[in-house]
Amino acid sequence: MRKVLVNVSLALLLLSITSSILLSPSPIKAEVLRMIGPEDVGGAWAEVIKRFHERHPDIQVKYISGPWSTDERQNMYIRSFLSGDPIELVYMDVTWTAKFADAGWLLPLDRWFTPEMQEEFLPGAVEAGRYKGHIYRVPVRGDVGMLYYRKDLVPSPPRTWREFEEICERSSHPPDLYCIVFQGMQYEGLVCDFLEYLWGAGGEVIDTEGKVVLDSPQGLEALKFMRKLIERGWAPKAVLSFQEQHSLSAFSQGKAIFMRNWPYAWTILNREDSPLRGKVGIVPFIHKEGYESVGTLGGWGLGIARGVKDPEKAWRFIEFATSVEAQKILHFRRGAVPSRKALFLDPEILEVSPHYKDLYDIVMRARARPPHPDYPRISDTLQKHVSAVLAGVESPQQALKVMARSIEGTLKGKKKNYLKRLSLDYDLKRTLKNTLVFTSISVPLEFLLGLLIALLLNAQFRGRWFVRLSVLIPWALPTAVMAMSWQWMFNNPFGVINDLLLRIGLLERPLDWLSSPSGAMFAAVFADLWKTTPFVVIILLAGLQTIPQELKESISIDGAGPLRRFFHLTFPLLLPFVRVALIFRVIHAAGIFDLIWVLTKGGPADSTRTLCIYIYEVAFRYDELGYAIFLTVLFLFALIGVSFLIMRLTTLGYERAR
Amino acid sequence: MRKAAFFFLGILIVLYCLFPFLWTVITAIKPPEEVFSLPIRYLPKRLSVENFVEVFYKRPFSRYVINSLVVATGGTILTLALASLVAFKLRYMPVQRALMLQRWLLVGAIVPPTLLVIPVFVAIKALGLINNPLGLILSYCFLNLPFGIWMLYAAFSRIPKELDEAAMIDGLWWGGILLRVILPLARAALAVSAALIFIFCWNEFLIALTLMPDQLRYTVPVGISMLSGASIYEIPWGQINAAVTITTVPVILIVALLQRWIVEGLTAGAVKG
Amino acid sequence: MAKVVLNRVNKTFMGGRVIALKDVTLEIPHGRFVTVLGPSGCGKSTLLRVVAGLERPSSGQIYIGDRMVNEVPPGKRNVAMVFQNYALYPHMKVFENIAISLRLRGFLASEIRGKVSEVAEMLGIEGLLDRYPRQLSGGQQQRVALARALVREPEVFLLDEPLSNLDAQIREQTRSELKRLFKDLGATVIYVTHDQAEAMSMSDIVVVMEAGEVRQVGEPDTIYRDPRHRFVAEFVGMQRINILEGDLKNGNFVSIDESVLIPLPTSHEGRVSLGIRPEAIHIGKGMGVDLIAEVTHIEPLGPNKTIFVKIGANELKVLVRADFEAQIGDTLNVTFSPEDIYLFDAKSGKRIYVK
Repeated sequence: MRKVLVNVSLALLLLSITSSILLSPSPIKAEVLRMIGPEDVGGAWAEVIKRFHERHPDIQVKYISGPWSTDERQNMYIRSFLSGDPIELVYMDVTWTAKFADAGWLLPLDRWFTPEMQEEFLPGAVEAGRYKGHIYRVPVRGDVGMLYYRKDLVPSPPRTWREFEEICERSSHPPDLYCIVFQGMQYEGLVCDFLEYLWGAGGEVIDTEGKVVLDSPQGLEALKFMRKLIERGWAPKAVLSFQEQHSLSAFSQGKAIFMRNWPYAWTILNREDSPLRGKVGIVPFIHKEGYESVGTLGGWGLGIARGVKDPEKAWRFIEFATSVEAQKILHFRRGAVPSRKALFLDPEILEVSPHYKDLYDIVMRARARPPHPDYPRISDTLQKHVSAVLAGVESPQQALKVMARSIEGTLKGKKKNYLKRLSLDYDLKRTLKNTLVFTSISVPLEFLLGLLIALLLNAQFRGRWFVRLSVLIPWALPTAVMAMSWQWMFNNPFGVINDLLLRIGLLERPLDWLSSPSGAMFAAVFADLWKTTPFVVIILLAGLQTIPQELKESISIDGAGPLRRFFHLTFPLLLPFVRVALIFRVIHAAGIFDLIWVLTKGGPADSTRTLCIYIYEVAFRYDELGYAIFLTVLFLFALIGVSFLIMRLTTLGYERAR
Repeated sequence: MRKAAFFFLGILIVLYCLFPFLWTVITAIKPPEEVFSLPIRYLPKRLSVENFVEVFYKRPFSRYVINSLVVATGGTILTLALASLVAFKLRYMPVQRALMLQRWLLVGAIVPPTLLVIPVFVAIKALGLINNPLGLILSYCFLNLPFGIWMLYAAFSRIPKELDEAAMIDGLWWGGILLRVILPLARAALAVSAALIFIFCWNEFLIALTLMPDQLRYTVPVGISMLSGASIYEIPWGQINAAVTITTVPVILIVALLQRWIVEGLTAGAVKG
Repeated sequence: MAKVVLNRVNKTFMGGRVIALKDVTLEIPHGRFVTVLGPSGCGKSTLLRVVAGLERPSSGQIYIGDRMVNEVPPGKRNVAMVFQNYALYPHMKVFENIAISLRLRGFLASEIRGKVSEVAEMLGIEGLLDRYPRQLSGGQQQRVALARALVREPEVFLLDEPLSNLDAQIREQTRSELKRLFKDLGATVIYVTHDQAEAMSMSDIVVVMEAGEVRQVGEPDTIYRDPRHRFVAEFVGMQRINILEGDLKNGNFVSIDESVLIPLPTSHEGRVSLGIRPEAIHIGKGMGVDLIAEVTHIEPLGPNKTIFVKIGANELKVLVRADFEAQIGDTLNVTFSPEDIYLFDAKSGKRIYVK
């Protein structure tokens, strides 16, 4: 009887806990409209929201500070949509519209954002919010890529590539003064830069019929030109790790004559305390002789997530945030380029930013990136290979071919079944290679190291317990967290690894570990080695200790010195343990995620993108759960197969005998 | 002579293992200016807790810590509770079948989380537990169950069945036997399993990243990896290192206290495997 | 075959806290079967290991043949050892187990094959060559261990309690086989055991050790009949020797409780232990020493009987034939010859000779 009572009450308790958690509202819900944006420097958004709250006290808006990287913030939005708790106000980049709308995550805004209203905004910016005939996004700020130049160093700015090259030849002298800095890291910004060269040479990614025409002579010209910038030393190699803020930092420290960046930089460069105040000019980005200058359209806008309880309230905020008043706040406090045409002629603005007259021209000619629901995937491909070209890992010809094939494969593969896709999936092949390289370097090394350490620990000496404890530590610490530490240690110039190697004399110059493909792979292998060797040590040590002392004595009487003792006795008897450790390690190495995701995100140039990172991106970034599951299952079978193989190969006759 | 060589090698190994952690701590206790000073200083000119203060102030880091604690503790308790029940039942099965089941469990324990993240995500989403600590707790329980059952079964099977019979004669029902006889006797194994599972949950990254997209629900590893540019110019390495220090010190403490049993536990597993 | 000499060998462990061998000087003539006998912890295994080279002596020299081998590693000493637990390599087949020492020395494959089959036949295990150790019985494993030692044709064989893991029946049989085998080979054997019956039946020479010291070296017969130390007398013998504690005074042995008085022709004075074997005591009178005792306990022993008798506070064991009738409480006359008495100094244990 008592038993029954206890069981029932336990069950009820469990049920009540579960349901209360399930049913309890999330503490952040209820009437709060959230949006994610970058760090609110200058407090622009805080001001906008404050004024909005004054006018609409019944609506709460919350600005969440997210990472600087737009890709990261996009991931955050995507995850929130997938999770069923969407972030209400979608502060989106121009390139997100197609994907989000296609996935049905956005509410069409047609009923509020009328054609008359649209007229007041920059056409390109409005277009970027349209998908399949409906409008999903109201532009908050416009953006266009352009060329900044040092008025004091270059009296008349270049318009063509040739003019540009001449200036570089003449006036730049690295490493003190580079010619140009831009965004060369593997991320969305790189695509913006690349497209400016591509379009400026008359090339295209996808033509009007939807065919991939990237692999063309114009494309080759563009890539070659970009590569030349680095090869000739006109752009520093560090550009490979630059996003907007890094290029701005370098330019404002006077390290380069030119900079490619967005309009926001102007305001910062002309602040009171800026050393370059008054010395900077802007022009449309350079183009190849005979073609037109094109800037990539950027900018941000607000949309409403589907599933919001009260879209009317959300619209109120959007209306305010895109009003003349709000845009002025954003401009003055943050250097944001307005999206309303009229503001380019507004006297208040022109007073502080007289260059806006010129900017209007540039901005009206801005071009949007290919609007395609698979844009993230396309962008990924472009990012990968353009950065590979910049890093010198791939030749421009190779890169073009690969990019075109990969994008084709993506577009075509979507329509086929999974099996077909497997063979079309060019990215998969690449990641398989990376995974293989990583595993085949990392596992043998850590076994070698682990064996040596285990042999050492098997002997008796003072302080052995402390060594054993130390050996456990790397394995116990969280991988993802330590990866941040490794990033810091491999940093250039603040990294301790460069410093130590320089001091010992093993290096002559500091290396940009994480910016070069082989350096990044090395760093990943090294960090992984550090973490997992302890595990191997423990298992092998256990094995060593099961070898009876008598056997060792017997074989030494039989005439074996330490080396032969190892080969004839220790190693064969250690095999069962080697087997266990090997299976664990191979599976772990093949499935590595945490370390690489945090350390390199798979870069540079996708050189460290391993299988599991790819599968993760397929599932959560490209939103193709089905294909991801398919790949996972295949991977699982492969692992099982490899495990069996290892077991076969490492089982000696005597274990099978009975 | 040989002893000296061993000792020296031992020191090398200790340095190799502990250096990254030590460097992190050193960076964390430097005042923010010194973090970026060149040439690199190995010993800070002065000590400061500014980085730690910033970390808690600028980001909801304390929230992350609480989230991690909730999830790790909940995961550990749930896992051990279920594992005890299963291991207890396994005790009564004929040894052969139990061993076979064990082997399958081992397979389950080996599968890396990266493979399971998608099915787990789909399942948790279906339950509507995204962004809910319970979702993460359930997932961790699922992932650690094979390991927990394995460890506890090894410990339970060493307890002679006669004790059960004596307890039954004394009038205890199965739950009582479990609670009053078996678990107390298996204290050591419970402690080690608890420690290892806790460490696993504390350290886990991928599933936490996937199941808790809401920033306020981040666990510590996810939170740290998202610490990016506070200003346009720099990544706050001082803060990051401080955060890493805070995260890793508890783990080190646990490992230091329980090192002998942890090694024994893993060793025993290896011998069986 | 070589002789083995230990000269003033000392071995301590744990920084001097444990003394395993104390000033041991011993010569083992070549071609002889020598047993080192003693209880556990007496240092016999250490002695073996020192000869093998598995332990280095703290001081003293070891000679094998004419070589001083202190610095020579075990693999080069040309000794073969059979371990208590056989130490067969589990991952090698029986053939390999036997062959490995030859292989390590660079013998040709054909030579190896020949030698291994020869030895296998000698021991009757030629059918097992293809199996793994785990597939063999205890007795079979032991033969393999022996074969491994034999095939080496070493200068010295070292055996560490090789029979202790065998069942009692097989043990006796194996004992004689081993003895015959080594005799045929003319081998120098150092055999370690705690079983005195084994030692007595198998050896040419017995070395008795206690607490790291050699108590006596001699032929089994001599050890039995003429123990030089109380420990030897106690350890060796079918049944444990009777010991009476007392004093020698004025040519008499007086037990401590003064219940036993035996006149002895000696001028030695002092506290002594008097030893007399159960088999030397008879029921009746007239062998030289006559005593009256009371029966306290009777233990049948197959064809014999052991009767425990009491004289005063002293207890004696008497070995009689099984058909002798006695009851607990009976008073018996016991007698023995003074020539069968052994006297030992109570403190040092050394034998005191009379006349």
